[in-house]
Amino acid sequence: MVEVLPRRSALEGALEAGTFGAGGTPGLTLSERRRLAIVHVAGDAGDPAFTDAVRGRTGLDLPIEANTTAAGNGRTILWLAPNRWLVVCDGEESAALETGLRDALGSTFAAVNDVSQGRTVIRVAGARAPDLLAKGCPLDLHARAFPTGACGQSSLAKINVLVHSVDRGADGGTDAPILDVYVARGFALSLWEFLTDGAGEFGYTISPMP
Amino acid sequence: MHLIKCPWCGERAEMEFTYGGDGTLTRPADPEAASDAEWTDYVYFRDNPRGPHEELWQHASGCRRWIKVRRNTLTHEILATGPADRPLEGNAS
Ligand SMILES: [Zn+2]
Repeated sequence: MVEVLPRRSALEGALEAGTFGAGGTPGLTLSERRRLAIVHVAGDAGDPAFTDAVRGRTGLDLPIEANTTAAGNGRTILWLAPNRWLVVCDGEESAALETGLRDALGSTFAAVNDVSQGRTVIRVAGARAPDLLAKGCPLDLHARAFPTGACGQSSLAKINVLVHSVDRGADGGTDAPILDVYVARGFALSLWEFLTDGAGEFGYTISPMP
Repeated sequence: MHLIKCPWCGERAEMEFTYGGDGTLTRPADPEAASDAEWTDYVYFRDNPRGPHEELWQHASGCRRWIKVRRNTLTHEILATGPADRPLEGNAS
């Protein structure tokens, strides 16, 4: 009989809720975004059949411009490279999303792959969130250069990551930045240790596993 | 921080890129007909220019695309960048 393995977080056993580091008001919050459906899509951005099919299934226009995203209805599409995107859904089965996109695309020249099990998404939120990532990432994370909706693949603590600027707070200020870091599952624990180590001086809260 | 302009992602830190070698090489057009000497030249022999040189780099931590970079090998100044599948704009020197 085939045993179906339950989905398990790469941070299980490591992520411990609580408040740590420097005293006073914690400068940031770390949490894991779990049970996301993450599907990699490749196709020709110049082919209306391709872009229409993705819009039909997700309700979102593919972000064609580099380093940008499209968001709505609990879904986000992140630009990865020319003709490469990541479709991320909260509260949807990844298999349903993958199959739905495949069906919508039909025989259109495209590739759709469910990579949900292979990615860990860590949310870094709070006033000091950009300062924490800047310790190991060469992206310009200032709200002016990396505003709400921006994304970028880069290196964080020598680990390849995708950083999504989910929200930079009111008028691009630094009151409540929310940055999501996508990392390959095998590197999640290493990155987590880098983040918790680096967050000590700011004081940080770890949200419990949802 | 030393920046290299990816044609798609924009100005990014050099550490996101991987060096991919001489960008001026041309594979023998007719592989069956090329002599051992021509293959040896293509596979092994490289010039070592002092000054502007066209190179291949990969935006390995970014969009993963291969790009062409014209770099001054003496000063490390990046003079031009562009997609790998077409000639770089501007003069080589
Ligand atoms: Zn790039």
